[in-house]
Amino acid sequence: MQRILDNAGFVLLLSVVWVILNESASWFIVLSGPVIAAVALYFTNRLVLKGDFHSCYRVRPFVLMWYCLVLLKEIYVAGFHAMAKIITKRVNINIVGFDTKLTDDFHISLLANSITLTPGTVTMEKSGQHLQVIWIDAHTNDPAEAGAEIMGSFEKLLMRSETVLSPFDSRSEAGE
Amino acid sequence: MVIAGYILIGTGLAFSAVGIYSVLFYKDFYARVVITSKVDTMGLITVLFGIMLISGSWSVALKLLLLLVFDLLTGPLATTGIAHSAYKSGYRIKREFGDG
Repeated sequence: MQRILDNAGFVLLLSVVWVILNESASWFIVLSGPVIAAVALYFTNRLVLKGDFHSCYRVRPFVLMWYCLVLLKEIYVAGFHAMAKIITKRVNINIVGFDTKLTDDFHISLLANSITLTPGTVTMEKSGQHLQVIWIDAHTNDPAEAGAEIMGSFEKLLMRSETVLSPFDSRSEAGE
Repeated sequence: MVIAGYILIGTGLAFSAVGIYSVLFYKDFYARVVITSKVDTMGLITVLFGIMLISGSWSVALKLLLLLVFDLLTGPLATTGIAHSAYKSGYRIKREFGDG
């Protein structure tokens, strides 16, 4: 019963995706959604993850929603900044490495993805808590300063999600 | 709403045009990877928002939103994969404009 409750959020999310894909909110589609979502989750747990979906992808839904809005804003803010640099030929590209305070592997992956999505930076490598990033506006080589500037508000938001969900259970594997 | 949609599509295409210009202009591999993928991300998001406004249908708009989410989830992985392989293969940064 607890496992069903743990995965209720994912079943609901996948059911919404099912309704969107079918472009119909008829009773049959709405009721078949949770069944198909549960079957999909079951086979994902058994065959792909070899574990529990819920424990692999732990994130607070409201933090995730807020995070998406922040990400969209950052994409545009950094995008205009990067375009100005490109057009005026003032690019100073370099590879910088820094550590994140996040410990959960899923949250670190989200952070790395967000850095890549933000114009002007691409995550090149992720090794445990260490990230290597190509930076188009590399005005410092100091890892702490570069990290703070590149990660921006992403890290703080993800820390909020991480501290509530997994204060003692770190899935991060150093040297992964 | 339709006019706003067309303005967004035009703006998105302009972002993509800057990305294409960068591919032709910059010679360094890493500069090309960073600039084009990012400007294209902005371009795609803006164009899709424009089409959502024009469509006038919730079902189409939600499907496009789903498309955008999947693109935002998978796009960075491809970019990271390409940059990572280049670095491992020995590509290093070339200075194109002196100190920038």
